[in-house]
Amino acid sequence: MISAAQVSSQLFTFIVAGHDTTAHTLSFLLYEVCAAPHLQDELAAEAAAALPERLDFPTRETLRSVPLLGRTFKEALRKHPVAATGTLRALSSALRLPSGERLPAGARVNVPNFAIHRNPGHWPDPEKFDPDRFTPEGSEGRHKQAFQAFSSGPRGCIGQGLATVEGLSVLAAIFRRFELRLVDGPGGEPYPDGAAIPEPADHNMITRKPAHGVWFKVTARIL
Amino acid sequence: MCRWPSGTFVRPPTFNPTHRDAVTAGYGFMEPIVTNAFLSTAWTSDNSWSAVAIAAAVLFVSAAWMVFKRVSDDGSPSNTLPGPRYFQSLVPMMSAMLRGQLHRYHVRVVREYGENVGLRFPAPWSHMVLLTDPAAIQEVIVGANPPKAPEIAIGLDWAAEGVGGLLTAEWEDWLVQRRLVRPAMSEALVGSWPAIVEEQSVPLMAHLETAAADDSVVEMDALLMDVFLGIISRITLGRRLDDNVARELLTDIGDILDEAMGRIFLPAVVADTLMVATPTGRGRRDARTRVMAKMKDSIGQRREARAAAAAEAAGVRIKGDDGAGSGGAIGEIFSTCCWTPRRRG
Repeated sequence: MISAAQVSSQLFTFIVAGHDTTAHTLSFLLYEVCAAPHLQDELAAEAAAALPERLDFPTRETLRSVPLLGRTFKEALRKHPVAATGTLRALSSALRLPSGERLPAGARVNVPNFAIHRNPGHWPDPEKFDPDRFTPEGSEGRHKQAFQAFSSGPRGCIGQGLATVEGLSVLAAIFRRFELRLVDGPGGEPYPDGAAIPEPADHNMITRKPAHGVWFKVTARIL
Repeated sequence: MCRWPSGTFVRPPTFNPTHRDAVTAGYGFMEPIVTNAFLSTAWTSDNSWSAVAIAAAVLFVSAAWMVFKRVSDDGSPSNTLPGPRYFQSLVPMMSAMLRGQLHRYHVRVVREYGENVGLRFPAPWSHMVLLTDPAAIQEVIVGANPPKAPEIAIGLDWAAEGVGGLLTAEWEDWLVQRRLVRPAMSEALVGSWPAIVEEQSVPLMAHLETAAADDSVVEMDALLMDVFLGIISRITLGRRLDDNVARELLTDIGDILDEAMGRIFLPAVVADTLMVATPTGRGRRDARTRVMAKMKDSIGQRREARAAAAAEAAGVRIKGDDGAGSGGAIGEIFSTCCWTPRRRG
């Protein structure tokens, strides 16, 4: 039997955590892809190979044939984790850290995702957006827990599967149908080719998001 | 003039060398400072408030020393890890938090102090350990430490309780909540998601086609939030929320979160700090429990009302409020929508 309070809590957290997180991740991803035009071309080519007709929409099977998009999605989660301040825990039993210090039971621990993902010890040149970090070769020697976008363990993100399916589907459809060019605001013009494009200002309260949105001009792809 | 404990007004003694010597004898090397600060002005006048001022100063220093000793000796793990201490950690962290840049503060302290950092706040028992060493993280979130988190962090556990759901800190409650939602997120339903995603992406694609034809500018973050709100409401409520209802719902959720922050988080920080003086952990915990229960009732009622209104506006059939065995009206949302696909599957 479930109580009304339990169900309303679920609805509340589902809606709060279930929509803006994926949206912000994709916004940061689109910024990164447009700041590196060759990457957008590669993603468009991959999407065109997976979706023969322009108005085709990805299925589960299609999503298996867009590996570059999958790596790009992971790299966006790495460089721009929306749960940027990370996971909070209280230790239920004492723990000895690999460095030798002992944390007693009850110690409050924060696993700060953004700081881990920008740690050059685990992610060389962490400010660079590089989907190839997630190729088998690029992942070699990296500890699994260096990637904390969805946390892990029993309290890991329950929506991880849904976020991946919906994120990849929408992205594949966008890259198949449109070419995007970054502009600097509502009335702006696209940045010229080769221009250094500033990263969008961010704001992090519950989730980390682009503070003033991410603005584009779009062109329909003909083929 | 001053009021002495007897309640009568008396004229304080005028300067008396013998009296002064007795007072200053206890100060030792502090004598010139104390003399300049208090005695040379007040003690020699008709007003002897200096005695009260000195007593207050001594009391203040003693109290500060006692608090400092408790902070230093409370066995906090952050005392053994490198990291900023007391106000050096609190002030920059609060400043970063208020500016929405807490994540960049984390990056800064990790670069400065190392992979595992102890943040020490200026109150007993208030600390935070930042772990960025993957091997240590493995131990905390996957390894031998089960994810029981009765007290997450100063203030934050209160805010989490205000929101509830999977954000709850209490292990038993969390377990129930996780079991409730697991079917909705199960592999059995993954096959139905792409169709929902395609259906909810139609307005976005149409908007982009129009923008391409008009050569107009689009703000993608807002457009994407509409898409994913549609998807999540289809999955949890069974149908897409009307745009106006969705906007109203999100506004209200924002209000509730603000309320949770204002009515739970900030008072919790203050209460935690004040309750430092509570002599036993038991008393402190009981006080927290009582205050938290009041907060949860208030926030919970608003949240339930809002969720019920959203479900009704979305056209979800809602039974009467008696709802015996089903969790009431809101329970019906889940029993008729969220759980249905799995039963069919």
